[in-house]
Amino acid sequence: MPDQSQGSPALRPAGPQVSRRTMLRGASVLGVGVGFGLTPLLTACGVADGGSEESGGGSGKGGTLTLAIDSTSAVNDPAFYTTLGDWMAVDCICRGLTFISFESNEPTPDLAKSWQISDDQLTYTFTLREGVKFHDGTTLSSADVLASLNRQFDPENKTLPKGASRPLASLGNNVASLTAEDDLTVELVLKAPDRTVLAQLSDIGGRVISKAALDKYGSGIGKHLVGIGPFKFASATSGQSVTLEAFDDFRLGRPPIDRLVLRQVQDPSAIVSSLLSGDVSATQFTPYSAVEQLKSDPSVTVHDTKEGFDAILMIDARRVPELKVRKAINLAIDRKAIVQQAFFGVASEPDGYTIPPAQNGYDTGLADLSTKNLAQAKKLLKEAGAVGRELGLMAAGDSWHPKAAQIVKQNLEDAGFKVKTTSVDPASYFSRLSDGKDDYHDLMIWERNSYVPDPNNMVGSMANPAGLYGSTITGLDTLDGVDTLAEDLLVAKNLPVGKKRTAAYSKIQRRWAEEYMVIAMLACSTNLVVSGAEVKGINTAALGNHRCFMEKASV
Amino acid sequence: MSDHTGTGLDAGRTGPGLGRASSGRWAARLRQRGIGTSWPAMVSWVFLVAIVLIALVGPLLISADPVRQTNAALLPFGSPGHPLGTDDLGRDELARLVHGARPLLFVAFASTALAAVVGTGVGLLAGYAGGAVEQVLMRAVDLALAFPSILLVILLVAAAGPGTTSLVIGVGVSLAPGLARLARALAARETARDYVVAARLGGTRTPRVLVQEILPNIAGPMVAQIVMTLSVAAGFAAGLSYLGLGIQPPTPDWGYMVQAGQEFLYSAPRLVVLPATLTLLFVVACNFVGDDLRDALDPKGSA
Amino acid sequence: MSTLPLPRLRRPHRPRSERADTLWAMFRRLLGIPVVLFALATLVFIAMRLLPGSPTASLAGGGTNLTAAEIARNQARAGEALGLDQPLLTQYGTYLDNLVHLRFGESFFGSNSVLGLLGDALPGTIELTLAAMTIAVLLGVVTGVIAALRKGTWIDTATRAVATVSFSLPWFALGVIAIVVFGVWLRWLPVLGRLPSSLDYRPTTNFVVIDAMLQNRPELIGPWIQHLILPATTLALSMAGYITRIVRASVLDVLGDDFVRTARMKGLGESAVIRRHVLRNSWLPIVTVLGLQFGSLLGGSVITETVFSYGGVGRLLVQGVLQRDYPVVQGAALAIALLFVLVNYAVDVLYMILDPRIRKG
Repeated sequence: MPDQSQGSPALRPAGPQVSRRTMLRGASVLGVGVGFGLTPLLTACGVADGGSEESGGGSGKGGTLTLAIDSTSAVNDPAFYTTLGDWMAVDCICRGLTFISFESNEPTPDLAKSWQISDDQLTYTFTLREGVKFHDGTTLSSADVLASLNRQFDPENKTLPKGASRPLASLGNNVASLTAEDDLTVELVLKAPDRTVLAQLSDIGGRVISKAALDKYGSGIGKHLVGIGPFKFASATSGQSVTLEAFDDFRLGRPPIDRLVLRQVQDPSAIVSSLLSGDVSATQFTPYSAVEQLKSDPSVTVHDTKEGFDAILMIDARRVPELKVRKAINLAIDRKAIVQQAFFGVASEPDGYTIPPAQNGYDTGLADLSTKNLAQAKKLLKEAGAVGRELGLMAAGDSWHPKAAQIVKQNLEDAGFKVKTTSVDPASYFSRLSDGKDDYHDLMIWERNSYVPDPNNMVGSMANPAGLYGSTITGLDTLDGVDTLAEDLLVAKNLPVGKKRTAAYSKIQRRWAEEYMVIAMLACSTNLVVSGAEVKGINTAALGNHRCFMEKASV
Repeated sequence: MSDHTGTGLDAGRTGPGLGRASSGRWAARLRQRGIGTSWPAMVSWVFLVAIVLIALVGPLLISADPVRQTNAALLPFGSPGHPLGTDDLGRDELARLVHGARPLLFVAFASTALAAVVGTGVGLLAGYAGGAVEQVLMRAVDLALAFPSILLVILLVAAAGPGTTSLVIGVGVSLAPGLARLARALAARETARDYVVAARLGGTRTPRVLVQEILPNIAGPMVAQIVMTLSVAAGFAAGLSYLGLGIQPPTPDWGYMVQAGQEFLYSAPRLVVLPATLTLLFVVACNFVGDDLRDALDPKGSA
Repeated sequence: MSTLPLPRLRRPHRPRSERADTLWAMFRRLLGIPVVLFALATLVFIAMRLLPGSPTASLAGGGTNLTAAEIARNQARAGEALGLDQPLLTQYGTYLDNLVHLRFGESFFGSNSVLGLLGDALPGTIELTLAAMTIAVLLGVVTGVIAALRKGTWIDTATRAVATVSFSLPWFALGVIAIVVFGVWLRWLPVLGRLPSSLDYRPTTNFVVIDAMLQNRPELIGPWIQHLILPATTLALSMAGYITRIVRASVLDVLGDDFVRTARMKGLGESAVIRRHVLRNSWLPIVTVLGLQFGSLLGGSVITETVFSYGGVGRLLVQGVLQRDYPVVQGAALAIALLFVLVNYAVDVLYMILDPRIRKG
């Protein structure tokens, strides 16, 4: 949690949360964590006591928290997305100028203790916190911020590894200048106003790296990441695990646990088994099918996190050119069956179209955009003269995707389509999405997580005709009148958070659905966070969005 | 992956007496010795024939739709209209099991046939021709053996898409080298024998020598080995469809059903146990039948 | 098709020249290894590039809110950086040149060196495979010999039946069931990885046993063995059944041979006959089978590695194919093939050493 003493424009999180967390932190500082941490460690693995003494740091807390992750390439670099697991490690090692806890969606000060925004919304002046230590002992200054953000903004930056994806590239394209006024003041000047800057800077791409380390390791920084976060990098083995250690000088206090191990566990049943056997302390990659089983087991806790991601069916408008047919597809989908059978109840029917309940801008007034009406679907299909139309449907072969594909296939066949499906390995799914000539490019099942909980992240990126979804995937950009959609999006993005902004997004969403229907919502769900019963203090709201804040966690 | 064939062992171990046996003699021996001499073999023959029959005609007899989803998901055993209950998407489990036999049987038989034709052909030619031809062919066999078979199948599936064709080619090509090695050893021995030398000196053309003279004389041990290969192919095929590389859902298939059912290992174990047991029984039956045939066709090889 | 030249007729046994022939054949096979590997490298190179989907697409997709144009630019930049914009023949030339100089390149996803990745992954696979092989051989040889000596009795029938069933087990489901039974219900054994995450293990060689000695950390051994039991046994079971059958057949075969009869007639005790003559001579087919089975184990370990989250080369390979990480696939395939070829070469040499005919000569 941020310092309470700054004069930032950001709202503070609600009172009770702060007090609970403050209390927890206080407790661990006072050493109450000893009882928590050591007992399970000693009983669970008698052999481990020798090892923990070596790495314990003598502060009397301890234990190892093991998170199951999808995969690791042993590269942790905020400018280079490799896997969700590696991304979680970056999230623990580095912090950014701003921070969103996901318990609240408001950007709060982190490394920047305050900021000022000019009246024209173009100039952001960040004042950095004084005396904050990196893992390598250097002290935070504006040079670190510049070095870190410039490698996001500048594709020619020398410290970028080959193939780096630069997640903040699009923000960079809107940056006129990034300068240091002095050691603790950074000025960011935009070309066009963008209200989401603070939120974007809280994303993993906006994380600050030690400039000394960047100078030393260059493009190899991903194997030696040095940040300011609660955990420092210890070791990583591709395909196996990433090991982090508690950082004694973390700004908000040393984390209660000694070590945080992110361990690759890919087989869904292995995830469930290792949660039950205690080999894994927590994960958000739990298969939905296990939810009942896990809820009934006292050795684990199933966390109820708000639905924050969209399960979507993308329709390629170039291959399904008639709006009536696309609407028929949307009307045919049995979302109740998807929620129950593909997500085992860990989802809700989408009543805010693409904005899920966990986000600002969620509006249940849009429920009618995602309803089932088979009779109407058949009628539209007949009117379009498209009864018996053949559609190719592709879905990734993991998690809920294949089951949703089977349900959608049957729904569409009930409405009068002919559907052939293919399941695609998750690693190559994305490259098939980008290939408009793919045989199965008519309908594509996909999910969109929000690393930044702002409506711009969902609607802004999916309804933007120039974006990946709007062009390559759905061909929205080939339809008439979409220019004004893009303009409306820009206006909505720059409204202050509140009713007016929500209304603007709702209007856009309604038009986007009714006039184009290139994205049919299947469900809103959350990544199912499950932890061992002894694990306390993990930020489950963040973990449900694949964000990893473990500074309060104890085992 | 179990690549149980192509030990080269059989080649070295097959007694010299066998080679001279004419085609008439091994047929006679088959009749004379009979098949299904032990009770596991008898049971296996019956089971195998039954499974093949079920795969062929079963789908016509079962009225329930194996693909149709209903809201009656995860019904237990003995539910009205669903004797074996329903799966997670409310589909009749019995119908899925009956229909699900087809892909496995098809891949097992077709890939074995492919392996048999390619393996015997290559081995026969190499063993007969000797010299450079043999060198080239057998190095190709070495290459095929060294090529990780799982990689081969994954590459095929990635290129041609998942499905039975990719599996048949992948499994077939993985199993062919073993058969090729055996065929080469057997053919080389036959080639040196008087009757082949005589035929060649008498001007019989090569294809004729291969097909009419040598093939019948190596057929016994080859057939025995090929039947053993069938069980390996079945196990391999089931494993690959378990990995999702086989026929695509919703079409039922035992291997994939095991994989999909794994999610319900705790709540509805039958969704794993039934298809896994059927797969196991099928592979076991193939093995016993293979043993039995080997006893009948290649007595020395089975000692 | 014209008549092929007559083969040189195989000469009758002349021990001395046969031995020379064998040595020459062994040498020729040794020379053949690079050829096989080269062909394999070429095949994998071509196959990977024929696959639909490209590594740059996956690489470029990591950003959020990028426009399609930005992604296309990212992709082009990535392609250029990775050398994928070059003509295929040029890429192939570069690849071969690197291969000859033993440069295996870097992963597209984060520039990990392929050698480093193999160094991380191979030890796990080798540990697992060797452990599985040991278990399988122990189980297989003991049951096989017993079955052969009790031929025709119910012990023989039961052993054969169990062996047949065990090697027909759907190995893919076995690991999952073992995890549920021994890891979750009984809680006897850990189900994840090579060591508990609470142990701070910094690999030197990545072989846990060797590192335990090098780093003087004997406390690594216990947990390591605990972690190895389930995956190795799962992997070993199907192989054990097969070995049982081979051993039984081979022992029976040898029992029928003249020299065994002679030994018995000489009045040697039954156990001495078994030890001195039967077992020694039955090794031949067993060793051959082991060599070939080694390849199968490497393949089978892909599933076992996934189910037990056991970092190994099988998973590296699969992951590489899925991500279209060409250098990783090329390196891993080559490593697996090299292991397989070398093991089988060693088997051939062993064969030569063990073959009594050759030894007599």
